[in-house]
Amino acid sequence: MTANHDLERRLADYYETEAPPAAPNWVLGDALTTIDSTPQRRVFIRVPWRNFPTMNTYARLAAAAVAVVAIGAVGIAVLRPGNSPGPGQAVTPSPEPSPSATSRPTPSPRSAPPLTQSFTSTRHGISMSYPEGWTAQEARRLWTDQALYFRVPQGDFLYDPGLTDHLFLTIASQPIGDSTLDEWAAEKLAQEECALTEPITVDGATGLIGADDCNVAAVTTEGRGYLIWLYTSDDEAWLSVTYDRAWFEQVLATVQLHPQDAVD
Amino acid sequence: MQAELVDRARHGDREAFAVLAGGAVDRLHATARLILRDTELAQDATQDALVRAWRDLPSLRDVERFDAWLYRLVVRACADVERRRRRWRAEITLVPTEPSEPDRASELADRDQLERGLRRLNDRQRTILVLHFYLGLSPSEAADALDIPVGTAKSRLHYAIESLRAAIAAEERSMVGTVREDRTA
Repeated sequence: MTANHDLERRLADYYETEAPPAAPNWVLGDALTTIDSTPQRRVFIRVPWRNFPTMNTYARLAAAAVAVVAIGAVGIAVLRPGNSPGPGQAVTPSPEPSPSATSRPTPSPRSAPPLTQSFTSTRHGISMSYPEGWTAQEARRLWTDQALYFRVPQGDFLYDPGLTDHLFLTIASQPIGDSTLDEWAAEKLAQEECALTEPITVDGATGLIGADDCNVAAVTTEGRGYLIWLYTSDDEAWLSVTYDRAWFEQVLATVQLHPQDAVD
Repeated sequence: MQAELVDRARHGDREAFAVLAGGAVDRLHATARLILRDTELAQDATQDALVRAWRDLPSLRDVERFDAWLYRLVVRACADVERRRRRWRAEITLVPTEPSEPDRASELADRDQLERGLRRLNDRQRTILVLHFYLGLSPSEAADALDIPVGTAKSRLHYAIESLRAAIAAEERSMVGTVREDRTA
């Protein structure tokens, strides 16, 4: 055994011996009493299913620096003498900035892995292909109307283990109840903040898909509604270019719906 | 099972949170005790972490990361009580610990040596050693709990072990020197 391992073993033994086996009962009791009168913090900006990655300290500092610079630039632009027209002065329209001066460079798409894996959801009654190297996590609970944050137990999640909550597909389904097929699909798309929608057919089932970059599809068949989402984080610009609408449609083309197998 | 409880608690279910807290309190308390080396402060830090967990749970996005998130809260709570303690005390006073069972003299000496070595480490080094060697977190998991990059966690762990080794070696050298001086006197 090396000296390193010997010290590490000694440390582990030391901590095991030194750690108190249990906290006094009142520690939990008092905490729960405090909690009884403590409201939870509300999350004011509700983005229903999107999941934002945790920023580390450096990222936060970088974001703060960018914000400070941006605010400073705006401040200088607004307050600089000669920029603001005084009383009685005519406002002279400034020339339109050229597109090249303001447009952000478009990131190059990377090659997405081929859709070689097959996933079958035992709860939601759906199967589909998904990319090589991705991980599948099956739903473990009934989905009613919970927000589908990354890896909550109500949804099936297919994701790149290296990117986790930056890039994933989510699937959930439920009986549509009293809603008509169109109502259910429209309601779900509205909940997911897809302002504009287009008709779509997935495995013969009709429904709606968000327009532009709102990659959410809602379709219904045999009294069951399905939601399929592709989430790409804004933090990494190449993701939305690589995993774009065309790629999402490739995935949707592999979907097979079998509502009779869904478990409610 | 835990993910379901976390999800319920996140939506305001106090009973679900009580189950989660009951399952975590001993581990959090032990972690705080090892980091702070003070029983009463560890109890404060544990309660603080649990209340923060309840209050901030709606902001937890990934229910599968509840444990790492909880460790992060207890580490922060330890840092806070440590700061409060330093306002009152010029230096850290270690609480003597009683061995849990009869030990041989060599084991006692061994533990004392480690104890003295750990005393020379800073808070950050002690914390990562506890997360890694007591909780069994990998450097990646410890990084998650500490909200630092993985590379920083690995480096901090490496230097903590090296500092501890150096402290122990220095003490052994000084003891050997003392023995030689005694013999030559």
